[in-house]
Amino acid sequence: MSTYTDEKIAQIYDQYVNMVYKICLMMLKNPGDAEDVTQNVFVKLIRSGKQYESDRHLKASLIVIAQNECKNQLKHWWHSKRDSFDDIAEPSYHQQTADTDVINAVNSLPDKYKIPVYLFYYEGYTSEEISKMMGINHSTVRSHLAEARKRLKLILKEDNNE
Amino acid sequence: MNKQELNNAFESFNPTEQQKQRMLNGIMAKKNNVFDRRKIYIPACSVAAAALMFAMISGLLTTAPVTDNGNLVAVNTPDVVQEVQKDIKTDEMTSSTVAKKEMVVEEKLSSEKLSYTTAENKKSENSDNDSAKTDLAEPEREKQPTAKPVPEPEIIPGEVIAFALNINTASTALKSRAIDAPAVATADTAESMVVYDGILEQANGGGGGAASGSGSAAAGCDATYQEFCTKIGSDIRDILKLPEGMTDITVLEKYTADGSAGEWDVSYVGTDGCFVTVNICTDNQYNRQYFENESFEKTDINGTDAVIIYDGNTYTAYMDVNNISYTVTANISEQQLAELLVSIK
Repeated sequence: MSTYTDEKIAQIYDQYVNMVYKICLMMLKNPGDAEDVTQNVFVKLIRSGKQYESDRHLKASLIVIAQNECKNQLKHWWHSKRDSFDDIAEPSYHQQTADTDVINAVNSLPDKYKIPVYLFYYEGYTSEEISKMMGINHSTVRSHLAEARKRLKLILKEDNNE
Repeated sequence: MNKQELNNAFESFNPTEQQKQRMLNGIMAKKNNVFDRRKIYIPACSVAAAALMFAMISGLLTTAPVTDNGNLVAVNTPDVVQEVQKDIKTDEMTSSTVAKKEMVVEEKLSSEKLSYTTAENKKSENSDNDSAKTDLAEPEREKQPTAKPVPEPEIIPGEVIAFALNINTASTALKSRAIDAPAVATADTAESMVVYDGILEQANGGGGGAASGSGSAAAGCDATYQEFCTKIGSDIRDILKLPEGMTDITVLEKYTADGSAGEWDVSYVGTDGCFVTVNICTDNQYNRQYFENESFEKTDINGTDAVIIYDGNTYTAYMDVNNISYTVTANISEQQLAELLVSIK
């Protein structure tokens, strides 16, 4: 029996759905799959019934669960059944609020760079915290961040030169 | 690009209100379900019944004809499956030939169709009387000619014929064929000039003598690509088999956290928008999680396991060679990717 009431679930969902969905979308690159996996992440949390010491612990757990669920999804044979972006009615991102070049530049990064960049610059985690969540060395996270910055700079410079 | 622009980019990935509501509805619906709708739960005793039904459907058991009082009569019981399977058991063949045989079996099964007709219609068909056919009768289908076995492609010594990889996310992955590929020298690759931060760098594709540009360009950086190649023992750019028309845009100097580089990206871009990036890392901890996960299908590349994932646009291939970790990110064809991976030694 889960210890999460419906009100608690709605509260946690409102607080973290954007973060979980973004991670899933960046890893799976497909809004439909990202929605499915986002649901799975929260359902997994609810069914575990685990109570966390603080919101920070809960947030970190959701990030780890999201990454693992995305990896599970990637290796599931149903992942081959997908809709193309053109077939989806609603836009996958809000084009009005951000520079398309920057979005494309971020999207072109490999996952091993994209997730640390998101967690570091957007969510405000330190490289040490990111290394624990992703299961990689601290120095590797820092080099990934440096490489991502270099690559974003190079990509955006090339786009501007076109 | 500043941090605000980056944050705006991430903000754009937020779900819409419709998506949020849809996901919340899904969560509320699923949270109390014990059973996963994607899984099929059957009691153990039903396994035998399911196997029996499958055997009957596939025609391994002949269906007994019923009386001529209007009940359905099955004709054309396929026995070709038994014949082919007998061939498979008796012949000594390689796994690729077995796969081809199985493909032949599948083609035969799709062409062989059970023709059901009532006893009355059977008589009427014999007498060519169309008016006697009922709604239930299906037109009798003709046996298709047996498909000829696909001949083995001629193997030219030294030529890479890695035409099929185990791609994760594909529902019908083909088995890979690892064939030794000759080292492809890029000594004749044209020199490419890369403008980076206003400093002209000469990216030379030949040999290990990758120039780092002018002396002033190297000043102030922690590590050079040349030093990195010395550390790992070779310059991969000498041996990579790339699609035609790609330009080397590898960054040859960098600043590192601890003053030495344990990782480098070798990058190429093509004129048609394609790109190849090979991340080389002396720490293989990240790639190891893919190899240790048995759920990911592995591809054999010259005796080395690789995990290849395709997201509909880009391939990501993880491979460890001689304790060096390689992660290839590319939006090229599967054949080109196979040739590239085989060339990594």
